[in-house]
Formats: sequence, C-alpha cells, structure tokens
Amino acid sequence: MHFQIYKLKQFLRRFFRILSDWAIFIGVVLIGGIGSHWYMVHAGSVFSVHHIGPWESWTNAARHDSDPYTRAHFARLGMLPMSSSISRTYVAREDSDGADLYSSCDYTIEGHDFAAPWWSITVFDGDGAVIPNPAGRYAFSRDTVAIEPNGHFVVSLARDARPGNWLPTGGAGRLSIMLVLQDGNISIAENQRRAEDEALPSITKVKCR
Amino acid sequence: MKEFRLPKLPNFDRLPKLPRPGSIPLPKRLAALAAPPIPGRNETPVTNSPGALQSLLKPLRAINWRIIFAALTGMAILHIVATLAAPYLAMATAFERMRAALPVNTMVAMPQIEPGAQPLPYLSPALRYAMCRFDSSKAPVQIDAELNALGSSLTIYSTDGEALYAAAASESPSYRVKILPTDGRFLGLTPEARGLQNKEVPSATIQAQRGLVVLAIPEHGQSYQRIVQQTLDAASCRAVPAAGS
Repeated sequence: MHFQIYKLKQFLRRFFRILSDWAIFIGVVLIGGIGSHWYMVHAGSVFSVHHIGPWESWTNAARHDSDPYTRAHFARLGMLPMSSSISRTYVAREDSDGADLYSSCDYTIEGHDFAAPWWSITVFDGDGAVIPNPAGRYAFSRDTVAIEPNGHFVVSLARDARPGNWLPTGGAGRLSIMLVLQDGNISIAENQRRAEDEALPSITKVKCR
Repeated sequence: MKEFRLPKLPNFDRLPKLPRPGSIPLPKRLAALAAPPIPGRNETPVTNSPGALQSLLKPLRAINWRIIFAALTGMAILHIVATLAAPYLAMATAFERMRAALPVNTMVAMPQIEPGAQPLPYLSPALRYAMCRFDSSKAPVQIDAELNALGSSLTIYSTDGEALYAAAASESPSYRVKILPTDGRFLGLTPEARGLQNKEVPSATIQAQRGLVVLAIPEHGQSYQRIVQQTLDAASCRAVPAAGS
C-alpha cells in the first residue's frame, strides 16, 4: 500500500513538473513573442523611429527598402504614409512635457519656418480621423498659415475660436498632430542629414478644462 | 566478605585516535545543512564555505534551462514570423480599403478630405488627392501627372504599402511612369531597353502587379481650388498596348 502511494506521488511529481515546464514554454513564447512584436511594431526602436521632443518619425516609411517593423506598422494602421525619400512625416501624441494630448486641453504649437519648401500641420483624433468642426479647419500648410516676419509661427489648438492660426479640436478625445515636411527630390542621405538637424516646433499645454 | 573490584577499563591511549568533530569533510550538499556555529566557538562561518554558494544557486538548479532556451528560441521565431506576416494578415490595409472605391486603371480625383469623407487615416486635408488602383497583369499601365506646385507628389504604392516610386515637384513638372507586369512578359519593351532615345517627358519604368497610385496636390485655398481640380482631373492612369512606348 505504501509503495502504491509512493508510486502515485512520484507520478504526480513528474506530471506537474512536465506541466510547469510546458506552461513556462508556452507562456514565454506567446507573451514574449507577441508582446515584443507588438511593441516593436507599435512603438518602434532606435533603428526605425526617430524622436525629436514629442515628435516621432518612422524614418523608413513607405520606402522600397523599409524594414519589416515599419511595413507592419503602417499596414496595421491602414494608412499610406508619404514616402520618406521625398518628405519627413512627424506625429506627436504628447505635448513637450510628455503628457498625452487631449481635446479637453488647449495647446500652442510654436516654431520657426522650416527649411523644407513645403510643410503642413494637421490635427487628427487618436485614430487618425479629421475632427469635425463648423469652421471646416483641419490643417495649416506653408501656403495657408500666418507666419510672422521673423519666421516665427504659432498654431493654437482649442475647442473654441482663437485669434491667429486656430485649429479646432472639438470633442475628439485623444489627439495626434501630424507634421509633414516635404523637401522634394533629394537624396536619402541628405534627407537623413536634414532630419538630424531639424528644429521642430514645441507643443505647450495652455490650460485644461 | 567478597571484595568489590572495579572492571578493568581499556587503555584509551592505545586506541587509534578518533577524528575530532568538525574535522571530517562533509559532502558539499550536506555542508550547506551544517549546524549553525555555536557562539563563542572558533569555527569558520557557514557563509564563507562553498556550501553557502551552493545553497544560493540551489533555486537556479531547479530551473529547467533547456525549456528556457527552447522558449526563448520559440519566442524569437514567433516574433519574426508575426512581424513578417503582419502586412499580409492586416485586416484593413490601405489597398484593401481603397479596392472597392477605385475602378481598375482609372485615375479618380478624390473629394476634399472632410469628416466622413476621409478614405484613409492620417490623410492630410492640406492636400488634394487623385488615386488609381492599377493592375498590370494584362497590359502595362501608364501614369501621367503634372507636379508643378511645391508640395505636389506622385507616389506608387504596392499592395502592402511599400512605395515603389516617389517623385516630388521639380523643375520639370510633367511626369510619366510606366508600370510593367512583374512576370517578365514585357521585359525589354521600353524605348530605353530597345536602344531608342525617349524624347517624351521625364519618365520611369517600374515593375509591379497591383497597387495604388496617389497624386497629392497642395490645397492653396479657396481661390486656387479650380486650378487644383484641373490638375487632378488632368492626371491619367491607363492600360497601354504592350509594344507602345
């Protein structure tokens, strides 16, 4: 009888040992594999994303030689980014202090005119949709923004009308701001050099409701 | 009266000397379980003995390192497979979203981007767009577009969003791009490949089966809307005979 119990104990010990080994294996594979994939596709790494303050740019966006993370990122978003061989696209989802952008707060985007011959600033909701507003304003470009004589410009993001360059944010919730700098037909090396030297505008929270 | 006599005791000095307690070398596993030192006795502390290190490493010995190694390998494989497959497994890529809205090999001037009229996310309303869903499986497709305003661009995307060709506004505003099938049937048919000089507008030849052509023109404001619309309408995307230049 005691021998039977001993055998049963040994069997259970072996069973739970194998079970725990498989649980560790499956857990590490699934959580680690999918988790690391999600992180690299969502947030990118130093090899695929260039950060300047609150702005992030996928440096190989829509290029023939883009890396798999960049391809997966834009395929998941379902968007067609402008090719990084002719432009640089920056997206900000945080202000310059690192707080998420919300439509319940007012912000100012302050910067200097860029070296790029054409640029635009657009405000979207968190999913990349333009925000409905009675004024029908969704973006400013170099052709439409009011720039001071010294090249300085300020764009206000607020629910209610503001003087100057005002972009309405309505009740969108989470916000994202997209800045596109288009240089024209320049080399990739020149594009990267300009990206390194870029002075991008600051995003400052004015107040929250 | 009988005399009581003590039994004769053995001569302890003659017995072989027994080892003193503590001088016997214990096995390493048992050394870790050795009794704690009694205060006052001059004994070597347990923490400095090799048995203490063994006790510290004991939990690590319980780990099945082969499983950990196999799990890390599996994790790396899953990470790579998931990343490479993501563009093909994505539920709504840009090409899939536009497939229903765009006829094949026809340039369509899209309405101004507004809430509810935004075909793709993060499509800037600072630009006006014309798009074409090309399919070069039956015949080469020719794209003609004018990029005469700063900020204009012509980009040809593959089905998974990779830009096969991108051009921005430059000194020569007219652009012509010929898209050839990828299966090799039409290789060598471009004028340059046949040794002929192309006297047309600046042109390029790329190979792709299916994808999207996006022409983007900056929105300059109300006064320029008609000009922008004319530029979008003038762009073309059409199948051309294989032998044509």
